[in-house]
Amino acid sequence: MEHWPWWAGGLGLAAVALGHWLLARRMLSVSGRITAIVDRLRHGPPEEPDMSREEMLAALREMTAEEYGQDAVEAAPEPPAAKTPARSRASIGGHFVFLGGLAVGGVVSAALAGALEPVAGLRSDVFESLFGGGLVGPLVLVAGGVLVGFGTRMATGCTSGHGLCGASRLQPGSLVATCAFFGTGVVVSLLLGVLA
Amino acid sequence: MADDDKRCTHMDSCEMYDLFTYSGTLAVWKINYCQADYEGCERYRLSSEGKPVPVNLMPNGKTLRKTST
Repeated sequence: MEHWPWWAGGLGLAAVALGHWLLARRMLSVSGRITAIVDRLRHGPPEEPDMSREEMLAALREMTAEEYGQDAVEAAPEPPAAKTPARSRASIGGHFVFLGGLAVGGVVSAALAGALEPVAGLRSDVFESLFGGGLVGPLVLVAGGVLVGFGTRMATGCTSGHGLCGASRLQPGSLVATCAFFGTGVVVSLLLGVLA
Repeated sequence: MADDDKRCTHMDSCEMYDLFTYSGTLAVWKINYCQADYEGCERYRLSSEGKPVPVNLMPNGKTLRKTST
């Protein structure tokens, strides 16, 4: 199977992260979208505000004066309207379309590479030698997926949120998270290579 | 960079944060909570516990209501 050169993959990921921000005004976060879907299933549709945006802003100004004093409110400069348009609430359909697009992209990429063939494991000699071709392989993958999901929730982000967006903005937490999951991945890969 | 040292990780999905960035007056909430004591934010606490966050809930735990005027 032919792989894209590493630099082309990096440019593609950067284009996706940047395009997502420019179009949706949100950081790219795959796990965040999954979390949003799970939250919607658990709690139902989000509550709609009983106030217009202007009424909310007026109420906010009033509470700001109550909390921080009228002086603080009057001293704060009122800049012109926000430079960026208000973010729209991401719809549940939008989350599914995005996640479905990831799967479709993977299928198209595999098809173009001439490798569109379902396998019950990984295309990896190390994986095959360690777990064989039976039921153990898929079970190991499911267990790995659960651990990834657990860790992602604990770290409040995944490779897209922390690795692409957070690390590129030099956010300390994202740098630590990225070092942790990539470092662990390298160590475990080397270890599995030795065991195989 | 200093502002990024302690930033709320839920900022991007918080609807209230969007309002805090709207004007200089309201930025005081962003400065005191989103970029400082975000762990003391009631919205952050509920969201971290996987609970629904009321749209009118303020970081200090009070609920935003229509002004009388």
